[in-house]
This record gives sequence, structure tokens and C-alpha cells, in this order.
Amino acid sequence: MNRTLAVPLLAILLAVAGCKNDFSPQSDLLDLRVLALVASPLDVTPSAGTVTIRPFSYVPPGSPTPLVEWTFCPLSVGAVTAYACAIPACETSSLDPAEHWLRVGSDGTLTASPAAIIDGKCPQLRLAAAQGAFQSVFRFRITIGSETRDAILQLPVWLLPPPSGWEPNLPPVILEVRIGGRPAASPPPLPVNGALPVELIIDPASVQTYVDAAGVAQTETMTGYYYTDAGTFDKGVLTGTDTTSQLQGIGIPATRTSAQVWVVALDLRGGQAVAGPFTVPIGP
Amino acid sequence: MRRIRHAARILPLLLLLASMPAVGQQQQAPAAPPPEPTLAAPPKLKELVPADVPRGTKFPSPEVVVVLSLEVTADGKVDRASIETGAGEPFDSAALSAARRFDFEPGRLSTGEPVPVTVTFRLRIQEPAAPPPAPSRLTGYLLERGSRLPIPNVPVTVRAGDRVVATTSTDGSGRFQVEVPAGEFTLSASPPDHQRLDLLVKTAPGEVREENYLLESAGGANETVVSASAIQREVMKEVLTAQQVFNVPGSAGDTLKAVLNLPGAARAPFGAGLLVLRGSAPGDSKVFLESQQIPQLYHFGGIRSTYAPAFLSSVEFVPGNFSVDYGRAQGGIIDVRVRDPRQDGFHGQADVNLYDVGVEMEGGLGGGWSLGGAFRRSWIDTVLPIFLPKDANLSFSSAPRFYDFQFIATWAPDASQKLRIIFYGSMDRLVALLSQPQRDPTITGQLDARVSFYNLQGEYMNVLSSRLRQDTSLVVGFQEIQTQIGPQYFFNLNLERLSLRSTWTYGFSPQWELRGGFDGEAAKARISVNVPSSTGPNPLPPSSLPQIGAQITTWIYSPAFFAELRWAPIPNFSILPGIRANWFSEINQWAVDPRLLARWEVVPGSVVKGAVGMYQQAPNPQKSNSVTGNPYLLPEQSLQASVGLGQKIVEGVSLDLTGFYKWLSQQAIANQTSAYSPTAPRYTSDGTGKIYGLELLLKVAIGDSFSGWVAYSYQRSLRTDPPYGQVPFDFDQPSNLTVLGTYQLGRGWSAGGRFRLVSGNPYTPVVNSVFDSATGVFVPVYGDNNADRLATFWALDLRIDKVWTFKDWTLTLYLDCQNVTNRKNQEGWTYNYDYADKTPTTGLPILPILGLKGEW
Repeated sequence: MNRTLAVPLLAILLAVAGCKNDFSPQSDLLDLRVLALVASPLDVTPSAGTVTIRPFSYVPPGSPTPLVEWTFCPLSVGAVTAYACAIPACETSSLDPAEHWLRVGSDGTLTASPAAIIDGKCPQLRLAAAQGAFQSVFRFRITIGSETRDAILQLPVWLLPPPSGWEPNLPPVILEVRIGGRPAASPPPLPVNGALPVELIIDPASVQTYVDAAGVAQTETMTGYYYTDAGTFDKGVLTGTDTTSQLQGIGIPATRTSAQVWVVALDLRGGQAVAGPFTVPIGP
Repeated sequence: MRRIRHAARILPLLLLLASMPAVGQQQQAPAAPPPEPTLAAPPKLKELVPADVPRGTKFPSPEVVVVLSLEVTADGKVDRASIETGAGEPFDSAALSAARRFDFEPGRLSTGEPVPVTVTFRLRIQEPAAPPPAPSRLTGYLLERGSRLPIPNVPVTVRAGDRVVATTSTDGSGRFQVEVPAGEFTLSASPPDHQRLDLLVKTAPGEVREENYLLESAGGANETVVSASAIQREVMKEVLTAQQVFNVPGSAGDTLKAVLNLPGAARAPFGAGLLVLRGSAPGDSKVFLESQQIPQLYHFGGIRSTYAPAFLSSVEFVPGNFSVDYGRAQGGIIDVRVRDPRQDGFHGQADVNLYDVGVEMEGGLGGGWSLGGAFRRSWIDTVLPIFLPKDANLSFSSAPRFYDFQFIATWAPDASQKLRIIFYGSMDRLVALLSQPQRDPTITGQLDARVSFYNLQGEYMNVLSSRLRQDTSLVVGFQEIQTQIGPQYFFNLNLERLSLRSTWTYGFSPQWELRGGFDGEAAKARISVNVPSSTGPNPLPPSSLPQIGAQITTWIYSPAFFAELRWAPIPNFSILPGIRANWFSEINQWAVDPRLLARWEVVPGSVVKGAVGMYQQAPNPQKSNSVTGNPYLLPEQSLQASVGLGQKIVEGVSLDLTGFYKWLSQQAIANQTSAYSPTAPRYTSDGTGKIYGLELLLKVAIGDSFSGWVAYSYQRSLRTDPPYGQVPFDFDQPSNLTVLGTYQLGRGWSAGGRFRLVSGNPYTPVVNSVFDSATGVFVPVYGDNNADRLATFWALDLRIDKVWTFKDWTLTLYLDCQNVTNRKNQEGWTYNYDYADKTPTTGLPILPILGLKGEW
């Protein structure tokens, strides 16, 4: 069957083994960026009805007020088409004056009732409700001037109650973030050309088990992303419930007196938690 | 041998006894005495018996005379002999001994009456001339230096000065024997493709000499691309010998890499190990070992083929329009031909280079049996850590390495039958640990891969009569793939395979020949899989894709029958219509492929050929399986047509030109609807395409000193996979030029080079990206499919060989340096995390492969 699986495997090895480039790492916040879309709940069941999604973005200091748009598509073609809507007529936008399905708060938080949207715009999908949850796509678009960033969150939307034994997905819980061995709220200075450890502690109790598409029981892989707008992290992403990345005081302009640090925890199934921003003074 | 010249003189003597009676008679008849009988004729020697003196007797002079007194009886015998004047011993005794054996015509009186007579006889004994020198017998073997292969049927001439004193020829074992006068002479032989023998030889009289004459091979490395068998069943088929495979610059002696320098083969990206023939997808072409499919072509990284060249005879390359013998492929084929272990003594070789180390042993066991084995192991696990940066996000529990082996036993009691058992296999293994996620957080932790196969192949060939021949082979094989990438993704396959092929050929007449046979496969596969599944043509982060998971145990059957008729209505013209019927159990479908070839040698050296045929294969099992794909797919089809012209330009220079067109239909493609509709099939048979092109092969062989070729392919490979419009195929390489050659510098030195100039592969540009907040990964947004093209590829490779030839073995030092200009050829793009920035991904840097090979 898939006899060429070894080839991409080797490509991965070559890619990670020694291939260096001059790209800025993902953890360096240099321009407009979406960091997370934190949803509650993570499974939209008939009993839940409404979902709220709060966006976390990095907007460079001094930028004008960004323009925010949310769209909802109940049925997407997936990553192949950049999550294009399978039935364009079913898609709704928060910027469409004729639509009222998506409510956006002043901080950009979305509140929506997916089932209501489906019933209102795509009632034919009710016919497929018995087949399980739809992987619906919430798209967040933020624009500052000519800069636009798109981010999506796929959430399962149940039109019918889930089967018995179904377990809802719960987000990871960040117990603590420590910077330089102290609580993140009062970190020590980041020495220029020095480093500070940034530790992310996720509640192990929030790690769930689930059954994947192959029917194999899997344990969630807790993943921590580290972001900063000054300096750089030696490792931008780490897996585990207790991970530490070194914030390095290199490449910091002399005019900067502090760095903003964010930490995002993911369960890779849609569950997200954000801690930050934490202000880290830049020392001598 | 002694030669004695005798010159006895018979003297007229007074015979005393005869005279005495005459006096008495005068006293008794005084009145009328009757006339006194007188001696009318003295005894006359009938035959001289030479005097034999002992060998080595020293003669005082060249001639010795012994005067004898002989009493010759009336019947001509010598009654008594005595010495009157001797010459001393042993001459006197020898003279007496000889004289006693004289036989005379007796002396006679005037009355005619024989009478005893005493005569004086001078026997001359001459010193024998020096005996001629005994002839020398010279037996020898003409053998190729180093390999010790016999050089048969070579005329051997012996000259003394300008005079030819003997001629003969070597037999099948390279042996010859001549008998020549002792002395000094020149032994000459001039075998084709070998160093000439001109040897001054001195022999003693009667000497018997047996020697081996080791002649340097002069043409082996310069054999050019040879044409195929007498009955050619393909419009284009090229055969590379094992020696060519070893020496092609830039191929590092790999079994398959060398043939990919021929027209019709696309350049595969570095590390991919893909086989793209005439614009077909990699899975559409097959590689066979003696007509039985090889399960896995390359080791990790595509650097080495899994079948090492130790027992390689040749590699046959057919990029399209192949005969009905082969099926289950809509692209082209490569058939690796195996050589038998040598019967003459025990031999072996060892090859050590930067990639790997290999050893091989072989020999004859008598009774028509020969046995050989080869083993190879890579060095990569030793070398790789040296090049890994210390801060690399990767550590190896088991660094990548491979093994492969071949064992061959052959029984060939005569030319009419042969039994051969081949046991070969390969194993690749690596275990690595990614200490932190890279681009995609699901790719982290342990990376584990073990890929292996073992094939036991039995072959029996039998010429049943002058018209009927059969070839049968059976393979029992086992293949295992175990891969785990991170905690989530895995693909495991256990495949047990049985394959039977039997081909029968019957020649009705020189004009008509029928071939037919069976080619069946059966396999039991156990698969467990959990992998990302994409419905699109471009790469995406695994975490952004839905997963396909399944535990499958399935049987796959694929029997096929084929028949081909060869009709040669006139000399040099033949038509080969054929048909192949193949059953594919995966999709429950028969596929019937009619094929036709015509070939006409218009004048000697000018051949026109053409072919058209249908080629069908089952879709990839992953696409046709009921769990992971669609079992209602149709066979993938390729209707192929080609016309060709072969022209010998001058001696050693020939040109082949082939044009082709392929219509692709019923291609299995991913169905994007399945991404959101559970009831939609994951794959459909809606893909189509067309491939066309022109291939040129100019082969040059200048004596024994240079050989090489120029291969150029112009081709376009286009696909139409709904919902996309017609786009270039991933390996659409409109222009592909390869120029290579090897020059024999003499004294064991040779130098070669390869230059390639190839269009860059198409690629799909990334125009934007979307942040998938669930995984923290950016998902690329692609533009039009394969709308852009990578930069043109060119590379220069050089190879230098030095062969030291000793009496019983050869040592070769070689340097195969790929990309000597260290050109940074683009193989793709590397993007930053959000695809806003990119930099070219370059392929192989300069790579000098130094190796040492010993053969005995």
C-alpha cells in the first residue's frame, strides 16, 4: 500500500536535522498576528446552543484600530481549499449588513448559535444531521491597513444530541506561568544577551483521552507556544504539561525597555488557553 | 635418431678356395679338360645392416672404416666374419655384429652355380649427425586479466622470425596447444576487446610448458549501449551491461540510477527515489527482477537501489509500449537481469565507498552447479552523525542504515535447461527522536521506520525442442513496512506474496512464432493505518488534514494471461500482435489490453518501428480499498502509441529517434466532496491526461577508447483532474538533456563525465496562509495548480577510475563526484512558518564518492 511513506519520513528527518534558514521564528512577534481563538464550549451540542470565541491577537504598538470580521461556514472542504465553504450560500459574515447571525463584541469576541444559522441558511443540512457532527469553520479575519490575517477554528456542531458515551472536549488549563523562576506577573529583568526561563505548567488533569479516526485510544498532546515581541525564544513550541523555553535577550533594540510575552496552550483538538501578555523588563 | 651412411665397397678379389680345385681338375683331365669354371659374379650385398655403436660413442673422425673378411655362403649368408683392419672398439664389434646380419646375392661361377666366396669388406661407420631438437609443446590459457574469464575462439599464431610455424585457436575455456620446434619464437593472439598478446618465448627441446596468459580487457568499460534481443518486442528498449552500470559517471555504480540517464526517464528530485518514465506517475512504472516485480526499489533517501549490482548482468529499460509479457503498469518498465555465479573456480569482490560496503563470493561446485552470495550494508549511520549539527533537534536511537543481500544457486547442466534459485532481500531501519515539534506539533517524539522485504525466486528454463521453449518462475515473498511518526501517525503493512509466471514460445516456422503464458499474483495483506488524508494535490500540514484509520486484512489476486504472435512475412519485417487479459480482484474488474508492434529493417542499419497498445493497472490499493478508498473504481488506462527510427550512421555511431503519445483515462483521483460528505467516495475514476514527446538517443563508441551517449527528451505531461482544469503533471519536464561519456586513458586509467540540463519541475505557488488556531499551524493557501516552474536544473558529474591489474585480481580505485561545480539546484521551496517568506530548497551539493573495489 503506502510504500512511499519512508520518503516523506526521510524528508522530515532532513528538514529537521540540519537545514537552517534565516527566517524569523514563529515565536517572534514582529507584525500583526493571531495567537489563539479560545472557544467555549468546544463542542456545540443542541443543549449548548451558543458558542463564544474570543480572539487573541498581537497588534503592533501604534497601529490603528483593526477591522475584525467573523465568518461561519457549517461545512468546509477543509485545508485543501484553505477551508473554503462547501456550500457558499451557507456561509455568513459578521460584516454582512443583511445578516444577523454573528454577534461580535467590542473585544472581537464572537457569539453565535451554529444550529440556528444552519436552520436559517442551510436547512438542507438537517438531512445529514444523523451522520454526526459537522466540522464547522469559524474564520476570524483581522485587518490593519493593507495587512490582513486569517485564522480559523473548526468546531464540531451537533444538530442532534451526541451518542451516549460521548465525552466533550475540554480545553487545557494553565496552572501557572513562571518567568525566571518567579510568577509571570513579577518577572526578573531579561538581561541583554542573557536568557530567562519561561515555564508553562498545564494542569495534567485537563489532559483527556479520546478515540481517534482509526479507533485507537489517544492521549491529548499538550502543546505550548511561546511568543514575545522582543528577544526570542530558543524553542517556540514544546509538548508536555510542564515545559520551559528560554527567552533570550538578543536582537533587542536599545530603545526597548520591556518585552511582552504570551504563552498559548493547545490540546491540538481545538482546546486553547492563553496566558499573557506578561511584561518582562529588559535589564542591563 | 641415428642416421648411418654406409658405403661399402665390394672388391673383386681372388678367391683362393675356388682357385685350388681348379688346379686339381687340371691334373685329372689332361686330354680334354673341360673349361675351368670361373667366378663370374662376386657376392652382392642385398642390404646393408648399419653398424650400431653405443649412443654417445666418440668418433675419432667423422668416418671410421673397419675392414672385414667375410665368408659368404652359397646361399648368401655370412658364415664367418673377422677383422682385417680394425678401428678399435666399439667400432669393430659393431662392424662384426652388423656384418653377420648381411644378406648377399651369392657369388656365382661362370656356370651359374652359387658358390661360397670370401670377400674383403670395408665397412664405413659414420658419426651420426646431431639428432634434431625434440619439439616443444606449449599449452596455455588466454584469460582476461583480473577477472580470469576465459577468452575463447581466439586464433593463436607462433612465428619464428617471419615464418609461421604453428597456428591454433583457443577453445571455450580459453585453452590452446601447439607443438613447435624448440627455440625462440613469438606467440601472438589478438582477441577482440582485449590487449594483444605478442610474447617472445624460448623453449628447450622437448619442453612441455603450460602457462596462463592474462590479457587486459580493453573494451569492457567501453561497451556502448547495446540493442536488445534478436526479436525486439518494443519500439524503444535499451540495455545497459553491468560494467556500464558500474562506470556511468554520477550514478555511483547503482543498479537503477544508470538507466535513468536514458531518454524517457525524468530526473527525480534528490532524495525522492522515484521512477518517472515518459511522464507517468511514479507508481505507474514497475521494476522487475527477471520478470518478477521487485517490491521496493530504493533504500531510504533514494540513493541506492535495493538490488546490489554484484550479480547484475544487465538492465533493460523500456519507457513505454512494452510487450504483453508485462502488465499492471501504465507507464514503463525496467527489468533487471541476473547473472549466474561463475562456474570456473571461486571468485569474489569487495567494494567499499562512502555509502556502503559490500562483499560477494561465487564459484562452481561441479555438475553444472554454481553458487554465489552478496551482502551490502550502508555507512550512513556512521557518517550522518558527523554532519549533524550539535544543536540539531534530532537524535538517533538507531541511525538510518540499510542492508541488502542476494544468494544465487544455478544448475545448468547443458545449454538446454537451467534451474536458478535467487534469494534476495533488503532492510532499512531508523529510529529517531524529535526533541521538540518542528513545523507541525503532531510531528514530534519518536520517528520509527522499518522497511524490509525478502523474496525467494525460483526459475526453470527448458528448451524442449528446436521449436518449443518454456520459462517459468515462482516467487514467494514477504514484505514488511512499520512506520510510526510521532504519537499519532502510523502505517504498518505485512504482505505475503506469491507470484507465478510461465512463458511458452513455439516457432512454427521462421515466419511464425507464438508466445503465450500466465502471469499471476496473489497476496495477503495485513494493514493498520492512521495517516492524514488529503484530497488535494499539494502538501499540507498533517495536523490540518482528516485522518484515515483502518485495520485491514485482505487478499489480492491478479491472474493474467498473455499471448503474442510474431509474423515475419518478409525478411527484416515483422509484426507482433498481442493481447493480455488481467484480473484485478481489488476492483473486481477484468482489463483486456491489445497491443501491436511492427518493425522493419528497411536496409541494413536502418530500422523503422511503431507500436500501439492499451496498458491498464489497478488503482493504488489505498484508493481501491473499501475502507480507505473506493472499490468501485475502474482500471487506470493508458493508450500508448509510438513510432521510432533507428539509424546506424557510421561504425560505432547510431541514432534512435522515438515519438510517442499517451492518452490517460480512468485515473483514480481524490474526490474533494468526500471532505465534507461522508457518503461521497473518497476517489473517483474521473482523471484524464495526455503525454506526448520525442526522444533522441545518439550512441557513440570510438574503438575501445571512448563510449557514451547523448539522450534528449522533449515531453509534455498534462493532467485533468476535476475540479481542476488541465495542468502540468508534477514531473512535467519538457526538456531533458543528458550527455555522458567515458574515455580510456590507458594504463588502467579512465575518466568520464555526465552533464544534465533539465527543465525545472512545476510547482504550485503559495499565495497566502490561514492560521489554524487549534494546532498553531499555518495552512498554506495555494494558487493555480502547478502554475509555476522551478529553475532549470543542470549539473556536471565526473568520474575517474584507476584499475590495477594483478595476476589473479584487480583493484579499482574510483572517484565519482556528483555536482562538481557545487551548483545549488532548486528542488523546491522552503517557507517560513506563515508562508510569507520563502527560500529555494536546494538539492545535492558537491558529493565526492571515493571507493575501492577489488575483484578476484
